[in-house]
Amino acid sequence: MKKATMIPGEAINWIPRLIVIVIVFIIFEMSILFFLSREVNTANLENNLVIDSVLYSKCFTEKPGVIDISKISSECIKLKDSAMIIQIKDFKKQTLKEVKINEEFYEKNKIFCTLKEELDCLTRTEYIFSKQGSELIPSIISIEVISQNEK
Amino acid sequence: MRNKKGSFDILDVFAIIAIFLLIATFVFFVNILRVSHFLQDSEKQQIYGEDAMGSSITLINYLRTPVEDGQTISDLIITSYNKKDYSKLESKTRELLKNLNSENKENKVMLIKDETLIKEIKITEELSNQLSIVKEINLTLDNKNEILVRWVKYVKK
Repeated sequence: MKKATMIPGEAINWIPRLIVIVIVFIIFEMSILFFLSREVNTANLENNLVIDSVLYSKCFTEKPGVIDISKISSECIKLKDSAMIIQIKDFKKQTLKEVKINEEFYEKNKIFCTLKEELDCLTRTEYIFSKQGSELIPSIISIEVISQNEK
Repeated sequence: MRNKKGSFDILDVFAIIAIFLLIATFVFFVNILRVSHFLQDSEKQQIYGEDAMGSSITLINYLRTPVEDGQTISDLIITSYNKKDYSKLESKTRELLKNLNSENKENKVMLIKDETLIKEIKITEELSNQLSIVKEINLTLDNKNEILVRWVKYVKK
């Protein structure tokens, strides 16, 4: 009889301990989930990779930073769910070359760049040398990419 | 668990309840947080590719830019350092920066020797709230020492 009355007493002592364990466990879960569910936006990185594939393309670059403008064309660049506008201008702001890839996609989505979350837009400019025949012209290449993300 | 008498101990029942309670709270929190996107909104991280990729085409071409008598900017940097006269380099670089800077982008060039800034060439002061992309190349001087050429591009976020 004496032993039977002692067990429920011990069990009652466990209740505050259990509450503490549950609170600690919840905090532990929260901290793990906070780390795991961190959203990493790689859209800028992906678009820069696409731009780099153009800047380092063997199709029309003799060496990095020197682009043969007679060779640059939309046939060299294949894109899926994205569009690209390449503009090469000399220092007098005269357009030496303009190439549009997936123009229809570009025209349809350009105005929504800042409005739609599923669109990622990036424009990058680099100082290049444009090769025209044997002449190297200091120029600025501007590459604009609009891509659709998977959100 | 069974005690010596072969019956269940009441403390074991509490332990089992505690384990179930912990699993239940875990499942509950995972689902609630996933549905509400509470955590996703609280922590967003952006990776800027231009900085990560290391594309330094602009810097390479800056150093390749012809100046005069078959010299390039890289030759001019070495000559300027040896003569301690940067006036010609500064005017040529400023001329180039004027063409490369735009409304959203500012560029500047820094020359560093033994971790000491020896020359900084820029047109405008860098604006706040801008992302800076840094590219560097080491140029070997005549006496085998090196001078670090740093190109900094400020892009509006």
